[in-house]
Amino acid sequence: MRRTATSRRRRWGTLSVILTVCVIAVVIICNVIFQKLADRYFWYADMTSSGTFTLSDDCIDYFGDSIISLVDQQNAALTEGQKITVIFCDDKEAWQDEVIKQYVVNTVTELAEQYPDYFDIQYVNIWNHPSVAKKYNAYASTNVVIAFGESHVLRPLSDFYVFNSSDTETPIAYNGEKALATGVLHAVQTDTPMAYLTLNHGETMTDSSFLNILVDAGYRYTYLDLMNFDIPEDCELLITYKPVKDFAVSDGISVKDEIVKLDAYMQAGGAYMFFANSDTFVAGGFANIETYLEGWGIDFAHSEVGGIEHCYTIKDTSQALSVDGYTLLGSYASTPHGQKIAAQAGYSPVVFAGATCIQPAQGFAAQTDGTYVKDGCTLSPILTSGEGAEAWAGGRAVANATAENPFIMMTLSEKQVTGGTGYIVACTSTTFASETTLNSPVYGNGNVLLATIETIGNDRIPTTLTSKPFADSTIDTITVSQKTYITVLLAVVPAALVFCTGMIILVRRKHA
Amino acid sequence: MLAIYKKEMRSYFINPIGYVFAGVFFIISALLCCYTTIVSSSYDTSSYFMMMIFAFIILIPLLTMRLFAEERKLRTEQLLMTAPVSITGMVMGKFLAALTLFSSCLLVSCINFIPIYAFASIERGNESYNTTHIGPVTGQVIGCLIGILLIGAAFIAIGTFISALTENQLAAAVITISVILGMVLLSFLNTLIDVYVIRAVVDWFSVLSRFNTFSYGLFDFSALLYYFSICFVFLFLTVRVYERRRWG
Repeated sequence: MRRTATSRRRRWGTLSVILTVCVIAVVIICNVIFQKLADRYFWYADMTSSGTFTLSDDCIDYFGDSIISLVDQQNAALTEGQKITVIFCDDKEAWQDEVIKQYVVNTVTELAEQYPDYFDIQYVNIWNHPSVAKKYNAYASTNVVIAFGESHVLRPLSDFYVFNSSDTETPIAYNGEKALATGVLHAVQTDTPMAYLTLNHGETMTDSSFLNILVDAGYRYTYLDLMNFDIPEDCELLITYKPVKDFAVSDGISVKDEIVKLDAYMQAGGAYMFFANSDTFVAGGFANIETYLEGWGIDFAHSEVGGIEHCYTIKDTSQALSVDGYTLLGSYASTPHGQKIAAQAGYSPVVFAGATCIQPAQGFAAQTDGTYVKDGCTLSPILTSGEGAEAWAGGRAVANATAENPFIMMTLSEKQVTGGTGYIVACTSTTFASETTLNSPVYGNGNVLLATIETIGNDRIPTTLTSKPFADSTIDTITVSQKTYITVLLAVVPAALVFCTGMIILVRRKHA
Repeated sequence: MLAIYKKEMRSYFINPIGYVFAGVFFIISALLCCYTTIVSSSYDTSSYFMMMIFAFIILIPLLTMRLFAEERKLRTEQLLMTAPVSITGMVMGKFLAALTLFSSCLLVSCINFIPIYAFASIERGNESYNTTHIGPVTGQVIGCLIGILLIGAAFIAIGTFISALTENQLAAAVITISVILGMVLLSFLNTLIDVYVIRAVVDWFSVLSRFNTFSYGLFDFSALLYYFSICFVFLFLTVRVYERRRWG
């Protein structure tokens, strides 16, 4: 009886060829199906040191808690719901040929997988579709457009990364979750809060990082000449950064009064941030703004040396990052606001340089929780010096910090006013908000700033989304001689051992 | 199969081929690793693994060219085919022997990573306040090692098949080099192709494109299946070739 299974025809005939082709086809089909499933259900393992390919739970929670409700609110008034559309301005394969693009694609894809009813992803080659490029002003194939209804936000690829100030080509951390979150926030929320930066006191805002922090916080920003213009009604955050001149008040020379404008804004429930530095904040030269801030508990410490008033400059060799001790690490205050901001910043170290010092204004009574209160105004220290710090003024040490009374370097004052709650944040070092510190994945200055802005303003800021630092891939401590030695050692020794072993064995076998 | 496997393993070490292969492998891997990491003052090992794939184009055909071609030339394949061992067992025995030698060399070549881990340890100690990861990412290194192990296995399977087609070892080596080179260079052809569908198909078959995810730090299970599939297909084809020869 012919056994079909072992027949010659089956083994090597035409049937055999067909069988072989079928087996190969089945293998290919299995691979295609598996790859589709792997893409769909993320059958990958993230082997990076900071989980760069993995969407964090914080990001998922942030979108679930903050963004989805906003989208639902917008869609409630519409007959047909809108989705958040993320448009990658090139073909899909172009966005997968480099790892820096792959990270972004992965983040967006995983987010869309989490919230499929709210997200739509498109890959549009803008060179083939110039109308799309024109519509969104996207003229680079590495742009990402986040659109919601009629509004959209354009994010260049660089926005998804953190760069070193000395090298703007090589990213040091992946910041895609926050960039995506703030971009979506911008696109979705109809009432983008406005931040105004005063510019008529010699302010020099040269670091774009601080402005990027404002954008990340969901604000749009512009500049304000407070002398000649009133604070607009849409101002949700007013900032004075490193002034070199005092605020104007109505005196016998001029009727223009900036302090009155500022007070009116604060009484309406405004939020104000004031950044000063010991080198520019000359004692006695800012009497008007200092007097106003004292009403909120903020008193910049001075000392008279040689008949001249000098601002304190804080020096702390025990927590110093520089040889002279003036670049130092701050400590989180134990006040409720201080601890909340510390938690949101992940208790990351924060840097101050050339910091002056704030002391509670006269009449503000110390409370058990570390705050100071007077007439309904509460001054909360946020960041302080260490207990070993010294205050220098006029070239000499004038005060020492203690564990109970460290020098206060950043404060948050809040007061119930006519329009609600007014907030003033005072920071004694402009280096705190400089490009170097804000861009660093090591220091938490950026996160503290964001957390502070969230406390006094926009509570939808994604403060919990932190950047994911890349591994440091540079060997800093190797010398040229070590390189040569190691190369020769590794190239010669193992191979020599193998060759010698082989020769010995072969010779012995030959003569055995 | 075990008897064939032992015979092949023994033949690697009673002939110079095993020692030459291992020695050359260690020299090439050490030079590539040192050039891409130590000399470049970099902890990033992704370039090393990429260059090792190109090194396999030369190394692996040297290992596989004699697997079946030598048997045919010495007329000992008749003994193999009439032996009480299945064709599949014979093919698998030879394949596994070549794979064992290759993977042993790959494992031993991991000593090249010792200096960079040592430097990383020193630098981590010097910058204890730094929360950034300093040094090679071990997960990524292990992922890449598994990736190139499977790529090597796939290339060995290809070499085994081509060795079964010819009795000339040199021809087997040259053809294997050509095929492997073609598979590796497929990804570079994409830049010359305008049609998206063809580009997608070419990219799908490209060995390098699939390995890219490993070098990024993403362990891609579909790529593992792909490499296993290549091994399966070419070993299957080798078995078919010998079955035809046995019963033809």
